[in-house]
Amino acid sequence: MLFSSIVFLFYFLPIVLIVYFLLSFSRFLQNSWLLIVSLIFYAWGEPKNIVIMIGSILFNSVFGLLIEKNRKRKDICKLFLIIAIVLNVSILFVYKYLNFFIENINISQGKEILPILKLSLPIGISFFTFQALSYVIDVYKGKTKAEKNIFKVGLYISFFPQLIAGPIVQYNDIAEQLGNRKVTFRKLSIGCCRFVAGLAKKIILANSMAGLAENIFSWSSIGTHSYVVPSSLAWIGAIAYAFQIYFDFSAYSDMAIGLGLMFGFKFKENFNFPYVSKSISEFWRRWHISLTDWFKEYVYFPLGGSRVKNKDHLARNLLIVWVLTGLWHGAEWTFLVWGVWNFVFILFEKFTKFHLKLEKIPIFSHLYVVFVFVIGWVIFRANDLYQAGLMIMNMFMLNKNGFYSNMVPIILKEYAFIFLMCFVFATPITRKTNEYLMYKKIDGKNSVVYTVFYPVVMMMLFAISVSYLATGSYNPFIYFNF
Amino acid sequence: MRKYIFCVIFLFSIFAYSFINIYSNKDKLKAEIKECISLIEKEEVGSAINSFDEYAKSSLYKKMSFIEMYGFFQKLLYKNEINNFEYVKDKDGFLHFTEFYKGIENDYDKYARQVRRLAENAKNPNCKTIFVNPLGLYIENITRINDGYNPAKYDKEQDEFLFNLYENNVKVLDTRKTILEKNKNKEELFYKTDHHWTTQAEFYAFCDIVDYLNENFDANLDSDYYFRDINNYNLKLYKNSFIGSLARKAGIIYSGKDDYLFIEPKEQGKFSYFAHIKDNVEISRSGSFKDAFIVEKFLKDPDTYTEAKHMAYIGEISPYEVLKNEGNSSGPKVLFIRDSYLSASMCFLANLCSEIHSIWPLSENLNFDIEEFVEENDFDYIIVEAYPGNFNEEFFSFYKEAK
Repeated sequence: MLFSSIVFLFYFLPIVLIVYFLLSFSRFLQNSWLLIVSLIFYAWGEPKNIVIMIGSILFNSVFGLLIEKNRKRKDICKLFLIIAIVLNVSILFVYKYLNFFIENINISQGKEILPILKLSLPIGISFFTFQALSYVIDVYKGKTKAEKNIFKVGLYISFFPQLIAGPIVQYNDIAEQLGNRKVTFRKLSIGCCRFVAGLAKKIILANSMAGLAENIFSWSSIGTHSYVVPSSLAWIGAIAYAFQIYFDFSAYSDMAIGLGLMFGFKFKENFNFPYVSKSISEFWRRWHISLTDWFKEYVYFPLGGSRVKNKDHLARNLLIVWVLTGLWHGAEWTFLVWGVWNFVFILFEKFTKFHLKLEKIPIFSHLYVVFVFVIGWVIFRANDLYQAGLMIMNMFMLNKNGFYSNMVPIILKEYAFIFLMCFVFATPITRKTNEYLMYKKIDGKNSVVYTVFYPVVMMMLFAISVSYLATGSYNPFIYFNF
Repeated sequence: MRKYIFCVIFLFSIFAYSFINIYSNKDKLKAEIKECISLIEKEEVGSAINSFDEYAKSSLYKKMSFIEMYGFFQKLLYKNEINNFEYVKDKDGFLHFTEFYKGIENDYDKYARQVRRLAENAKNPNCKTIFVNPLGLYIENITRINDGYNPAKYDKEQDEFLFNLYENNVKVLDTRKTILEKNKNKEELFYKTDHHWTTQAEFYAFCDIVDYLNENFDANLDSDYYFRDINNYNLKLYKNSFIGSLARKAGIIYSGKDDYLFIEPKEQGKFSYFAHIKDNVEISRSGSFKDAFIVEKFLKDPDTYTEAKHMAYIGEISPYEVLKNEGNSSGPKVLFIRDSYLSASMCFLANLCSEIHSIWPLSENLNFDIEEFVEENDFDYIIVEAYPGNFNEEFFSFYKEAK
């Protein structure tokens, strides 16, 4: 089920909220209710894969308890941890990566040695597997105690707001909240605002950009022999995709954080205006923060992190993290190359510190970052490396494709407002304006106009978002397959 | 404070709207739940979920108000494209489908041979076949739209198909020329919100068909020119009365409403109409031109958003239809193999024929074989008409092999 759907907004959410608040007298019943509806939410996308989710909850709960029980016997404890990790990673591997390996083995041999398996990718498998891993590892490390109540583990792994697109919540960050959280009107209010802001970002901005990007990437994939995509059009497509992925994913995080707040949970932020970064290292401190933190906590630091004897080890650790980050997004060579692309620039920045010199002239540092992430997203978006190459060649006029397209002025005219809003909302301008208006005092009082104006604008955004849904306009969701 | 106010309004809105949405659709919802349960019992859980998703979307309370809001927002944004270039609006306010890349290579020679085989295999050895090539919504040198919007243009495909028809000795009536010779005012030929012809254009097409049959086959139809004279018809203009299918995703505020001109012969005659819609669903009407051919609900009180007024002539296209002129048993017997164009033209032509049969090859509910039908029925003329969007294997499903 998508947050940006009629079923969610007008059937699922109101029912879940009403029952949740009616059960306010019992935290246990509230958690049980959230677990049940989370499983329904998950099953709505692919009913048969609910078994995998329930299986994941069960065996991670059991292994958490086994680790806790054998805490004094370190070897056995470690053995249970390894089994739990192997089981989690195996499920992820079988459903997400096995066919990729089989395909490549067959390609390398020039014939079909192994048959492709008919497995559908369970929605959000990378997200909930990483959360499950976080649970058993945190229990092993003693950061938190194993949870005896399986419903709480179940709720942690399957909680619907962050189930299919994160943020990836680390168990020790939320363990306390599972049993002991406060649902306040303040949280509920902020949650509602956050949810609607996310919904509007997703439907009005991300979906508009998605349509543009989808068209231009598909024209590019036809090939220059049949359809020429001039450079200017290719750049519009690449920039549109950069906006699409940002607003799609950050909007989902906004909605997840907002929904979490409505139920009294506080999740960490997942995005912090990454497109204003002045280096790629900074970009990754601002983009999908929960994934970066996860890899830092469970891969990079255990490998030694940056505190290593020599630069070779640093490079090795970074390479491992970025290859895994790339592959986490999908079983395709494009994701692997995209991971390596990021690794190269981060390593370069770490070794040469050249971004610090660039930062003296901010426009150059911004241009550098924009260039790297836009090209990176083209690789990420393409169906395969050949298509990525085709699109990049189109962007740089290397396909004898020329520069000007008569579609570009039309697109810029038609999407002028949307592009403008994308630029504005990709920067902290709105946050700062909001803060300014909130604290601005007129004759010693907060602006009454703003207090009235804000709810009106938010309700309008909600109504416009629903109007887009009512027309059945293009409504994809990128991270659904991750 | 501002967030508290919003929270109260938002929660009240979604609870109230959800309640109204469920309550106003309670009967539909019950039926849908029944349907879902039966699917789940058949272990088709995925289908049940999809079915409920579709139900939720289609039965949204006051859905059209939301669509109007969407259209209003698009208008505020000064947009001429809708839903990611699915439709574009030209400078005169006409909505067009778009086409950026034609990926399909049609075998026009094959389709042309199939059309030729209709007459070759017809029961009546003197049966003549003509292909009526429809004038499309995008008219070169008349449609005004900026470069880069890419409205669907079909001239090239039509020219290629017509060339192959000529090569196969199939007679062609190209209404792109004939209709524009009569009238170049696009507002009188097309609706702004629909890709179909206006009744006026349908009337021109009727006249052109009669002229063509007379000139090429000595048909001697309407020799006194009575039925081709618009003065012998009653005209009624319904101002701002409907929106067509192209406007259903953007609403009236964005697209505006179309006028509708209703044309009926002063001499009403005596006719009957039969339509096979699907298994066990058939329609028959008889009486005057109006009684037999006109579906009053489309004229009087159509649902503005779903029932376009131009469907007043014989209603929505059916897989198989028969229009009989009870007062002209000596007139020719004509078979139309067509898409949704020419509905009104057929009604006008019925004045000059004994029988008109119409087949819609694209329908899944066509319950007989077109080849057998042609070989068993005694037609004088077979008229094939296809909009270029229907140049495909599904439309040209007959005589794929020579007999």
